[in-house]
Amino acid sequence: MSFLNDLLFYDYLQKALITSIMVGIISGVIGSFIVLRGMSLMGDAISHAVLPGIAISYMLGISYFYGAVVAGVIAAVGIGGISQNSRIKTDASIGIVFSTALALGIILITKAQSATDLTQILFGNVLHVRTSDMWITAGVSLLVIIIIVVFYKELLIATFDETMARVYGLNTRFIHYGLMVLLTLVAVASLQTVGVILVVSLLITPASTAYLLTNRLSIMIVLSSIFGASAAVVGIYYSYMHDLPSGPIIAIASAILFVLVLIFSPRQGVLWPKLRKMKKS
Amino acid sequence: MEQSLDVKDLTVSYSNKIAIKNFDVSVDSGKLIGIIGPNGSGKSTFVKSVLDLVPKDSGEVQIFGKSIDKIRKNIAYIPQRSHIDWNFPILVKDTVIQGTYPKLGLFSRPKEKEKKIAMEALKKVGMEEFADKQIGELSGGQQQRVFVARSLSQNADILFMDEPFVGIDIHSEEVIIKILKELRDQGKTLFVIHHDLTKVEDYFDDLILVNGGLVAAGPVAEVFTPDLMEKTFNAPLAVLENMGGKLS
Ligand SMILES: Nc1ncnc2c1ncn2[C@@H]1O[C@H](COP(=O)(O)OP(=O)(O)OP(=O)(O)O)[C@@H](O)[C@H]1O
Ligand SMILES: [Mg+2]
Repeated sequence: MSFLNDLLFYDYLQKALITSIMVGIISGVIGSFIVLRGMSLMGDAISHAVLPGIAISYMLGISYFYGAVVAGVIAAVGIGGISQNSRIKTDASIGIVFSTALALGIILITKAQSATDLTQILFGNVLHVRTSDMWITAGVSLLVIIIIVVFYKELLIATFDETMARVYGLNTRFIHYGLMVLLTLVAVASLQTVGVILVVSLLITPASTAYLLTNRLSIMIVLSSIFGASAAVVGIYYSYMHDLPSGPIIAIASAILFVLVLIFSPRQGVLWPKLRKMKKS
Repeated sequence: MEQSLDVKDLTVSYSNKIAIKNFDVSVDSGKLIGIIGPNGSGKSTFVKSVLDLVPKDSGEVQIFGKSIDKIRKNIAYIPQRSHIDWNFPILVKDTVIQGTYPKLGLFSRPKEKEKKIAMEALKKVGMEEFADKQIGELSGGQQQRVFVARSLSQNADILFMDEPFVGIDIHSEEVIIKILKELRDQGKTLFVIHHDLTKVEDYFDDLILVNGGLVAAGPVAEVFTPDLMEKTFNAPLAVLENMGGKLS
């Protein structure tokens, strides 16, 4: 068990492990709401949109965290603004904002010749997690979990029946943008682990897997976090043992779990209904 | 009698297309009111603008003499069935508990008391044995009864329903109308958007007739006439058939 051994000895490996478990958990939590609100593409867009923010932060010599958050929020507002104020549908406005932001980000990062190279930002390199990254992730995780726990009831009703929520006086637009801010924070926190391109996989796949297994939102959130964290750990392991980028491995691990559940899930699985039919005939 | 709803000169449009124009109506409290009109006549728009869900071009709405913002927690709304995601991971009992959210306010969670309220509401609509089912596992009528139970647990003084009887079984319809009448007898005011003219006289006390604006409003006995139906539906023959010949 050289991995476990090394884990005890190498500080950077511990940091990577702790960070990626936290990232898996919060991606699962936020991802559950993103999936249920039909905003998976929005998750994709925002995670790409943070790229120019990161580049500009490097140029200004400030922490990438600030630039990324600002860029993510601008993208969320921009997408909402385009689809609400014109006849352009949301998926198209997401496409416009996200491809533009990605393009701008790539140009800026190439120009900036930043210390961190582009591949790492795009695909993640969890073994390079610094202590400061770990603390940022811890702060984001705490914030996300506190907000979801405290406002669980409001998030539930605003997601399930937005009209009732509005009738009784909840500001559902505020809730929407609040979730977008949390989504941006989670995307920024996941950058090191999965990379810009694959943030969406950790947001969407574990949550979708959990969705197939339960009829309660609270359980969906818990399962989704467990799946996300497990995928992240698998990612670290292979990344370390076989010198591969962590992002793609996490994405593949989540996808394998999803397919297994899709086939074998007792409620929603595609296998059992077929077997039942075969038995009957 | 106290006015439950007072609408003055309400005009609402969607991207330049006027949906309802110069709508004036005022309704007593403690009534079961049908909102009747053809497809696209602005019934849903009327209710949505009253509830401030769509912006008004002009006009004023008061509920129990107050602006809507002062009274929101006391308003129950049952959406059209097609507006709900029936695959949402939520159980019947947890849906009904949502009725207690408005009065709980931020930060507090439903506890034993709220759970009891919800179970009683479920019993009332005859759905208690389905409490642990996911909402998508029910029939259309059962789903509608669950949403009625949710409004019951909200215990609001005023209730709006958008086409609650569309596509549901006759038993559920009977259960629901019986409950609505009971609520009316307790002094609640209920607005029901409705399509089917055959039951109008059995179901409602008052009618609001809509066709791009107000056609007429008042007690069923006064406004459920061939004349006004013709004006509302612009289709005399079909309408008379629909009305089961009661008026001919
Ligand atoms: N969101 C919207 N955007 C644009 N036009 C709309 C919108 N909602 C409704 N309309 C239009 O406004 C008019 C009134 O619609 P509304 O839904 O209020 O009618 P309704 O009486 O409820 O009809 P139905 O019986 O079909 O439910 C219709 O012509 C409709 O096409
Ligand atoms: Mg309608």
